[in-house]
Amino acid sequence: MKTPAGNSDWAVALQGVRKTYGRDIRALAGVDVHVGRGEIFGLLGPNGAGKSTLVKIMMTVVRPDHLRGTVLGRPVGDRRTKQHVGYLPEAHRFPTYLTGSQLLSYYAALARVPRSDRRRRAAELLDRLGIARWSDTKIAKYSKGMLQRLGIAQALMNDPNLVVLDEPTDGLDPIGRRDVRELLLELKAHGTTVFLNSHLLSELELVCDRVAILVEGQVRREGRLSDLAAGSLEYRIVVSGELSAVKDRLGRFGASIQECEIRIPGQDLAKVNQIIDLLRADGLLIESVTPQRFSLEDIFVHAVAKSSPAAESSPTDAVAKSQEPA
Amino acid sequence: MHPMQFAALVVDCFREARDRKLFWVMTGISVLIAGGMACISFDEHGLSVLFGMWEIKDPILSTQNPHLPALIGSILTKYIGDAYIGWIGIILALIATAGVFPTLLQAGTIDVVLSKPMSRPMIFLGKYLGSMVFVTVQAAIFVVLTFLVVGLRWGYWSWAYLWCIPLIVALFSYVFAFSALFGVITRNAMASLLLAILAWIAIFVPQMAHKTLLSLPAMGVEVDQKWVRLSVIAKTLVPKTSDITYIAGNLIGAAAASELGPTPEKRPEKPGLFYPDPQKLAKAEHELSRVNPVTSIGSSLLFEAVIVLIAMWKFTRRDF
Repeated sequence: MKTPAGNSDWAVALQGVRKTYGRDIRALAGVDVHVGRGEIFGLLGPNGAGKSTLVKIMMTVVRPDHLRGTVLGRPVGDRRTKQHVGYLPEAHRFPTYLTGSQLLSYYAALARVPRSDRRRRAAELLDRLGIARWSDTKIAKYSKGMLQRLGIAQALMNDPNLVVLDEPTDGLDPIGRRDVRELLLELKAHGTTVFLNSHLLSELELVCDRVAILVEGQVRREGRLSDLAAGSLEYRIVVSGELSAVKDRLGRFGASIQECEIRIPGQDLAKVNQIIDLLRADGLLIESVTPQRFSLEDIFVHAVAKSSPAAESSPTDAVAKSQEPA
Repeated sequence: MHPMQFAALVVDCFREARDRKLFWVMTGISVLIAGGMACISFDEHGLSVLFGMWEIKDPILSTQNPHLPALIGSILTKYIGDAYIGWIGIILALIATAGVFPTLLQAGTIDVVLSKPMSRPMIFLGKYLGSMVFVTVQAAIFVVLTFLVVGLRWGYWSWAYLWCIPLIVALFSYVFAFSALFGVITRNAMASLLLAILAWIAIFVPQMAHKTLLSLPAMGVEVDQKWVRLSVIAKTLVPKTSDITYIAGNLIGAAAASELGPTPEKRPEKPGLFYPDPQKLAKAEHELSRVNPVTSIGSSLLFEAVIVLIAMWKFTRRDF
């Protein structure tokens, strides 16, 4: 396991991050984010939510209007800390006049990696990311997927304690995505903290320990995936027959009805059984009872929908609404 | 900044310029000029071109002429220095380096650089000085090659000519400061190049005005001294690009133009634009060439420092 660069328990602890572009384009409106050491953290959000701005503020690419917090236990932008941070920006553009190995050596030198370590590390990473045989080819000839792999290698050249990856699987084929997932898990096992910014919720779901959902410049939800999903569990009962006669009585249990389906939020099994008894007493036939655990996508859609004028009452409603034809 | 980081930025400047092929173009031009000069030699009869294929028999060009070193110094200053180094070489160097800041600042590139353990001013200075090192190498190639040719073929070892290396770099840096500033503002190589050349012309105007005002009396035009004083003030404020040639000439020991050419025998009594009074012209030339290198270069570098600080401030304050 890696030795922490600073003393804080958090790899990233940001509080009250605010940023407004120009006079009235508010990108971040007081964001608090905490990332534990050694965990894989996912930052989600719709387009324009402020994800890239937050990442750029962490990397000192964008200057915040207000920020309190630390990265690896030291103030954001501290140069000693930066030596232990790797970063892959979204839509990166690397100098096309460099070869793959030259590019890694260049950025590693800027990160103050000693020359002897640079060669060894570059060879290891190029091999690990499957582009070793292109190491001496100018990157002008690289495909998008190869560039993405090279970008990830670049972010890892300084053997970072914290690696910030903005859309790391962008441009990668399914095999490439799986490779990146495996690499992220290897990094985690190695003690590296990973901060992921991605649109691909299914990807995040497979690797992230915790996520934060950013909507309109504010963190809408943050926590462990299991915790977020637990709060969103519901039971669905499908019956055969007309439900109008029991509608009022079901309402008292907090259940909602959609055609022949009854949705009961929460995990209260006693309540579910009471509803089943009620349905059977009314002579209705039960076709199925299904516990429904929401995916990250459901949680995400719900969080995003909450900010819209017609807020949904539950993830189910939000997901259902998102699937309705326009 | 750690030396390792500075070295990486310098090497990157070289790679970028080499990728634009201009490194080799400039080296090729240097070799061509040096080669062309090597085809010329001086002997007791005069000047010989292409190893004796063509000869100009003239006592002025003869090795017997005690003023020949001054003449050679003048050739180096007026033709090599003024024409190639002063204009063409600087324009080529500006083209080669115009993309340094726009390329660095493009979205997706600057993000990675800013995430490295370097402060923004240091990144800016690293790139700025990297471009300077690139031009220093180019200047050294040109000056050393021509120095060797002049020594070996013309028999004139002008060690002071080597001062041209820092002088070229100083001249380039005066204009490159504008290129860097406009590169940071526009993030466009072509725009930064054109605007830098415009700025170069703009700072040339007061210098040209000063020179003209000093030369006009030799052409029979009386000038109010308040305009001369005003031109001196204006010239003092801007980088003095034209002083570089005079400084180089003084160091090399070049002859003044009036000492070289034969005076026309039939000269009108009244001086005019095409027949300036030789004595007054010599006086004006003497006045212009009386440049204090420390004051001239020092005040020019001060102006450059202000431009660089503005560019650095813009770079430091900007979101990417």
